[in-house]
Amino acid sequence: MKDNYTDNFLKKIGENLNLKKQQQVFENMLGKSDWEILPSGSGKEKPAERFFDDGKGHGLLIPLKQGNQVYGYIVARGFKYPVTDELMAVFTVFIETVMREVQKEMELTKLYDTIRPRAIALSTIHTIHRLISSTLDLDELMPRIARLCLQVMRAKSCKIFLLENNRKILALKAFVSADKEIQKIKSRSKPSGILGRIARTGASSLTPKRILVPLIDEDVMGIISINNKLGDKPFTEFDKEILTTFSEQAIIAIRNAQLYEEQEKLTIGSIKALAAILDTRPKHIQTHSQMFVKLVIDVAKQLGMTAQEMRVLKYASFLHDAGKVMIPDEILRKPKKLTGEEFQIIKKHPIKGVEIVKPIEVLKPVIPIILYHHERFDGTGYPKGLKGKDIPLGSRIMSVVDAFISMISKQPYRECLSAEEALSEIKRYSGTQFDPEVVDAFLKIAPKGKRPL
Amino acid sequence: MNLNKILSCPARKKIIHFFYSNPASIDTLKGIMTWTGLDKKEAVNALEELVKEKILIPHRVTSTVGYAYMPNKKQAQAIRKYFDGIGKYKTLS
Repeated sequence: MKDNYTDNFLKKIGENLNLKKQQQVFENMLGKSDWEILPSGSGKEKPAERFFDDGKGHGLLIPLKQGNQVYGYIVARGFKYPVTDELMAVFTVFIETVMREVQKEMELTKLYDTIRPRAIALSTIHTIHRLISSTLDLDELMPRIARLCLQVMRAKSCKIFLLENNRKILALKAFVSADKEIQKIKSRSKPSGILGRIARTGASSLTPKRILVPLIDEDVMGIISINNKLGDKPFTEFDKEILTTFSEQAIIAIRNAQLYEEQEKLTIGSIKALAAILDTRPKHIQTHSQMFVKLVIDVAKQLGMTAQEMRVLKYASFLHDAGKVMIPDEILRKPKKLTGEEFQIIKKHPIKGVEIVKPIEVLKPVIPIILYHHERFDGTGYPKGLKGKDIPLGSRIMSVVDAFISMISKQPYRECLSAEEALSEIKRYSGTQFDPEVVDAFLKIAPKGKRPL
Repeated sequence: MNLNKILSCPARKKIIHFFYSNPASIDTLKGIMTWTGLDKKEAVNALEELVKEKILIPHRVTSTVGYAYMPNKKQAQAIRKYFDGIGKYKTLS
């Protein structure tokens, strides 16, 4: 039976043997002859014997076989003299060597053709895994997955839906189209039609123009939908398999981001609860305010802090004055100047604050920020007298914002300043009490105005 | 830059041929070096140029960049015409 392998095999044997050359070699010994490679099952009649005389001259027949499979024959006819056993033996060895070489070459080519596309596909999956695992921010992750999906599937558009509200709502989380930038359309609806069926059954759907694949993590969590293949080709079963593999990668990243988001909410909730407990004090000695947290984060953004650094700073902002809970009310509310002894007690509040947050593992990174938020840039602050950049950046930011908030807030011993007056004071102490870089960043985002805030 | 000029650089030609043969591929610098046999310097320069020409798009994250094939229709047609007849899985010498 003829097939591609047989064709290639015989073609390569022909190339490697170089029949014309063989013809010349044999001509010197046995006279002129005609040579050909006869494919097995070609319908052409082959001689019955290895050595034959067909009336027009002598000939030889050598089967081209691997194992029991005969792919064809080398036939030479028209020799003036019969082919000797010795010559035949030498030629047979030569042919077997050529066949072994051809076989090796074909196996290598086959291996290369089979393995290379799979290795490239595997490398793509690995790259996708790296690209989608590098963020835990769902708002960043969903369009990234959609864009990569569009790319891998060579589709014109991709939508990603997630089931929410106990699987009652199907929310469109990302929509990317090859023609346009990321679409900001977001929709929420009850899962119905084909989307509803997939949400219920977890079965994929394939049509020439669309593939829908569920995102499954124990249960159906969402659906990836791709539309219209580039080049107007129809989607195939193979495309569906690729999208299924892609969705398995995607759901891992989505679940990680969702779990992280839940954990983050839990952490912030716990910190807020702790801050609220600490704030059950007279208003003027409350440990933090929303404004304080917002200004600190705004300055951090200006200074290019990373998301992780800002997260830690946010936690610290809620709790930076937690230690004041351990300072007697009489000292905190005292309308007159504090005595030296009272000031020594006040100076302990960063250390007391650290004692409060220390047992909570997730708050470990905030400890230095809380501990040093009363240090001054020139080294005259407390508790350690750290100087310049030895003070953590978060502490240097909080120092500026804390002073500003304190100046614009009414205190037992003085009236509040306007934002403009407070900013003027901040500028005055830039380089001594405050880090000038932080002051510059703060001035860009600080509230302005001549009236008290 | 027109396509002929882009393809006049052997490194760019190898990378385009790789992506033309494997259009669904998304790979990093290291991967592309493996599939094309280019060294790091050649690959980095060629990738930069191809991104600039919008034949490839970079998916950038903190730890890596994944390059993907996204020529426009005109570029895609010209590339197809250029490579017509060259076996898809053959490595360009």
